[in-house]
Amino acid sequence: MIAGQAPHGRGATTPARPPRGRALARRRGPGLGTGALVLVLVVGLGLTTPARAEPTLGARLPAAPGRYGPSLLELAGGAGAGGVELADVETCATCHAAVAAQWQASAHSFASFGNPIYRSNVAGVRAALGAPATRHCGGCHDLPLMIDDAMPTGDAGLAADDLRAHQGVSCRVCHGVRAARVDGNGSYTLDAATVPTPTPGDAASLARHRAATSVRALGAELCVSCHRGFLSPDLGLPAHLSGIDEPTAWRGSPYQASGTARIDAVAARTCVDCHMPEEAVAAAVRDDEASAGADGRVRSHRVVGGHTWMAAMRGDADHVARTQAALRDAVTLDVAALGPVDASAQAPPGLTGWVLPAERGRPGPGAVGAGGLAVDVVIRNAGVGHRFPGGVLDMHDTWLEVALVDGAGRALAGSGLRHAADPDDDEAHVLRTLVVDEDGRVLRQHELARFRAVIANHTLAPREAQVVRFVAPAELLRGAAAVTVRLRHRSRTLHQQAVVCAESRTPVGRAFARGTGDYRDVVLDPCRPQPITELASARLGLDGAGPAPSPRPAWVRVYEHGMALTAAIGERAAEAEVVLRRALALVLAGPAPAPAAGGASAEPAVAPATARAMVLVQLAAAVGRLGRTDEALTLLAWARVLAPRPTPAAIPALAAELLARVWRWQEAAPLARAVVERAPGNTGAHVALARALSSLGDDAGALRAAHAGLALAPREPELLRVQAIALAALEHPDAPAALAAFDRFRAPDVSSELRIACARQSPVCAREREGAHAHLLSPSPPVD
Amino acid sequence: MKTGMRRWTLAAAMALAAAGVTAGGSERAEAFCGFYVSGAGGEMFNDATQVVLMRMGTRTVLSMQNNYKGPPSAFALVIPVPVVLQEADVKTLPAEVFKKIDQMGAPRLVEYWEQDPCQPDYEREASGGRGVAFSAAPMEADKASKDDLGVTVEAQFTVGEYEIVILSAKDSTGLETWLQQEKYQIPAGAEPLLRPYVSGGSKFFVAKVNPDKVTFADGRAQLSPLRFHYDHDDFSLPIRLGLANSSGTQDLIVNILAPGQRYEVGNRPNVTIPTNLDVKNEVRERFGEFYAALFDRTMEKNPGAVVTEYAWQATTCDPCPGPQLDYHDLATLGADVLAGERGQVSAYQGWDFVHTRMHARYGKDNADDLVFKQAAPIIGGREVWSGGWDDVNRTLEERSKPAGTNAFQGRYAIRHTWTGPIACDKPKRGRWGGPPDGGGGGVKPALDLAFAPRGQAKLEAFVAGDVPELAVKATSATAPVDPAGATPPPAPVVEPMGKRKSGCGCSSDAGGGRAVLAAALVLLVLGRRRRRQEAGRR
Repeated sequence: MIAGQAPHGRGATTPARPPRGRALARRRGPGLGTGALVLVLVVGLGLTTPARAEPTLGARLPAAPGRYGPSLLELAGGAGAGGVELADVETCATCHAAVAAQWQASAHSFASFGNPIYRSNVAGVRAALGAPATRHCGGCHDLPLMIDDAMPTGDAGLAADDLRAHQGVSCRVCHGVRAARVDGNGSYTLDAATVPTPTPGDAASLARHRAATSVRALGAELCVSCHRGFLSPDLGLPAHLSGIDEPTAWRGSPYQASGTARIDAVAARTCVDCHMPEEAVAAAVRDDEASAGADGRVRSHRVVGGHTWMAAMRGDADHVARTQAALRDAVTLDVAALGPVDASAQAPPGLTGWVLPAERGRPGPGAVGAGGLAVDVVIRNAGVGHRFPGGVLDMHDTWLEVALVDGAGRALAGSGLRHAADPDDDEAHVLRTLVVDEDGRVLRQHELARFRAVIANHTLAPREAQVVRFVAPAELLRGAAAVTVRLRHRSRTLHQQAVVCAESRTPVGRAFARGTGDYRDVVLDPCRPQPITELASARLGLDGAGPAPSPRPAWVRVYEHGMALTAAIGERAAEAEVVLRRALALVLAGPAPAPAAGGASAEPAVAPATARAMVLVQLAAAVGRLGRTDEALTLLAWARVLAPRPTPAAIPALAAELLARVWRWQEAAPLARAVVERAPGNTGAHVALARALSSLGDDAGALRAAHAGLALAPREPELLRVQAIALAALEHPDAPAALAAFDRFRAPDVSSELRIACARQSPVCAREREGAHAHLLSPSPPVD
Repeated sequence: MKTGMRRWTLAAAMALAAAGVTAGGSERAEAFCGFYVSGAGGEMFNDATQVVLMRMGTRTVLSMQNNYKGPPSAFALVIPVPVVLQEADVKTLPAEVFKKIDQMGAPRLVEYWEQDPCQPDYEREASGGRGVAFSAAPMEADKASKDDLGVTVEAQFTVGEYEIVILSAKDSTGLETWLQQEKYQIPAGAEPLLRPYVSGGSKFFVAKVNPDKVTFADGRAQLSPLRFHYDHDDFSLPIRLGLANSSGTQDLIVNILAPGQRYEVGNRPNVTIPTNLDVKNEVRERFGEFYAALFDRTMEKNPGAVVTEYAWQATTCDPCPGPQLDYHDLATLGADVLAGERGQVSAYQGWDFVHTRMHARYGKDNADDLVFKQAAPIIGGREVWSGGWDDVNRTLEERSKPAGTNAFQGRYAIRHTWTGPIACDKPKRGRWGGPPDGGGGGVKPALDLAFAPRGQAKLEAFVAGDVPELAVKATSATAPVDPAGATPPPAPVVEPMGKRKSGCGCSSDAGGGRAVLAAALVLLVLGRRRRRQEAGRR
């Protein structure tokens, strides 16, 4: 509980007097004046004015690369182990056989040049930016080579039979990290000193060994240092672009109790909880596994993620299966709504004539418009604590297959139906980022040296929903019996696989393949077809037959649909409002919401009041997007009445955002401060507070807020900008350096121009640029 | 930096702020999305702005025409934008295109003469009973516009009276410093207004004006229209900066052109102007004054509303107060930078633009940015009668109503009843068309509405019939009227008139507020019940 906060209904021995905010809400209800509404929110949060007395801060600047730049790797301990020792796994395996075996299956163990995907990408960087730039990659992928200054300096710079190029992120690398920083790009300090070897039965030596190798104290930061990456002028590029960034999404999510986008009720989870669950050690090797607990279990070092290709490339069916199982828990899929569209494939304003939620049955006479029938397909990241798909966002190939089928199951029309085999399929909706070069051309092969701007990001933040509209022209509806939807996943695009496959057939590629065979006893063949995993599916019967489109409660389906529609362009926010009002009606009128039975549920079991509060918050977001601030604040005030205690951070966060949008900074600032206190891991919360204080002219306060946020995300451009403005206003000598930092890491000035250029020359870009966009179903080729 | 701020003098008037200052007196001012700065000090005002927005997908093209009232020395417009513009994103436009679109969307006055009740029906029967409007000849108008305007967008970066300077994101963080370096002065009170823009990451472009290239009349200069475009998810019009420090009321007319799409505002009530009203003969000379009264009454009935005055296919009209927009006009206003349709990579060449015209009037305490939302098509204000010519009870289309296509306008008619001989057994009354002498009628648009006389006459005195939606009872409700008798007056010419609109045939609650309140009451009850249950458990 934050300082000064009134307790809410717990532990009272006398009849509790409601907090003032709640009393106000009761007395005045939705007719409250705006100021009173904000008071309801503020008083309920127990906000206080922060203490101000502290010395003036200087600039908090992002770390600059050192000896191993562009990577941010640092080395501690002076002379110690060399690269070969770091790459040595066999010694570790003598006492940790089970863990070492798990690691052998992991993608971590194939992080280096033995991996043809990595090798191909590094070759691209080297060709475009020069050999020194490859240290950007080496800081996380190639420690054994980095500490020997042996990252390739040219085509002949590395022997294919060099052990250091085949062990990736080895035991000694992870367990040698002594400090980890939040910057990313390998922002950790490695202690390369020789690890003290324990002597069986010698407790003191075991303790020394454990002390030297334990990374438990680092927690998630160990993962952060490499699972956050960015491109910048440090790499010789003209602009800064954020790349892989799991920590920002995870820290700002309900999995870290720092979600502010919605009221949610998921349990806290860390990287280790999800990717390194405990696993029983097989009895046969239990005696050879020193790290197993009394229950015979260890933290799994398989580090299962979504990389089915890597597992399949080496023929590891078990790891493929484990990975696919994890993927299938990631998302939910629903054909959430259907309705008419006009001749230009637009839904009527207010979704007039739409069925919310969609249920099996023949579309009524009003369901087909001049442009045909549309269905809204909703995908939700139900179980992944970072963006889904995660990792490097432009490389994944997760797409929707939508088919309009007849009674015999034959596809009459579809979208994405040929994507599995056609690398140039532009009709499918793909969950990825679109990155363009300096001319606005979409880059499809992860040519990072040419990256200039991100045009669109259709990956899903934790617990976020996304909607895609599919339009079936009226002439294709004849004989249609159902709409079927599948979300399918392949680790990498076919374009990238073609490049990797070609490289593997070169003499260098063959040589490395032999090296991998020698050291790892596997044959890596990147030309084999990648596994395709069906993550989820749904079916909407148009003929009244078949199962219901979703077993989940109607309110959940409509709630997710509305949530997803809030990402549409501004003038379509009214669609989200319509849908969420429907969700509100359902959640008010229906039976108590129940958890979904079995499988991945997008919505954990929640109390009826909480469900209502959840819908109200999303409805407030939609109404607020339409500029109706006071009405949105009213909805939030009611949400607060119904929400569990303590008040979820989503409520003050949205209120602060709404107030900031209309420049009511005095009211926004205390709410933003409350959000920071409740969701300290959320970078966006720090941005909101810093902006509010800066807008009020509280430069010292803005600087403090910026500092706190930069501690989480050192290159967040919004925070760097506020810091620079504040220091300049305070006439601090660090002001020029702060401005230079903002200038270095801000979004490229040409971003908007590149979006326009891309949309002009690429239909995919023009379509995908828009959130909640529409795809037109194309006739399927006749079946022979 | 603060020191610099303190040095600023009251030299620049924040965009509409300036307008607001004048609005406190007898003048009115229109909105402006930026502010003026100068090196010489002195008060500077902007009292007339027109805005045309073109929107498709995430692309917005914003064109605006401003005037300037202040010292005839070097000054500049400073305009915040959401992204850093590139040189090619900023252009100047010919003023003619603004006149054209203003004329096209403006409320119009038409005159009709009752036709000889004994005349055979001829074409009227074939045309389904529609009346004859006094339209300009569309084809001729189209030809004229092509000849006159051609491809009109100027590509030069320094053009006419402007030298355009686009500040980078870095420079934008130090806007005041930059302006100081450029020897411009900003009002001392500007800091709290500018700060949120700067803190929020707005970018700026500056249009320096060379006074030697501007013609001043009565201390005013009409500046060349500016156009810029950008890519953004939100579709809104920032007006707050312009209103800061304003103590008065602002008028703003927003024209939106979008393929196949009408727009409304999402954050205020929307109303359509009462239309198809018959008015008295004197309105011919006082159309602006009449419309101002109608508009003001509409706003009284719908406080805070934004009034839709026009929603029509952009390249057609009926009646036409002037030449229609043609492709060159659309290209001038932004179609050249809209992406093509699905699968196309060329500039947008569709002819399906819908022209929506909205009129807002607001004060300092209601100056949130206008947020636009998509709206369904409406019709209204046409010379469309229910029933056939023989139906004595037929009525003229009233107000606005949903339809499959957009065809709504604010249209007001002076009707001259037949006063000639009636020499047949079954005269057919109520057939309206051109003057008896066979000459063409006229269509008069209401232009320069910001300067319309106000408060000098009552609406009741202007209308020939009641206007129930505004609770207006005509002082003489005997419509149609015919003060002119059999000799029609000369066809009115199109001329500027000060006027405002009114309206409100169709009102919509912007927020579904009642539903919210109802839901909230239910929630309150549920919340109380829950708390009682919790208390019981405890």
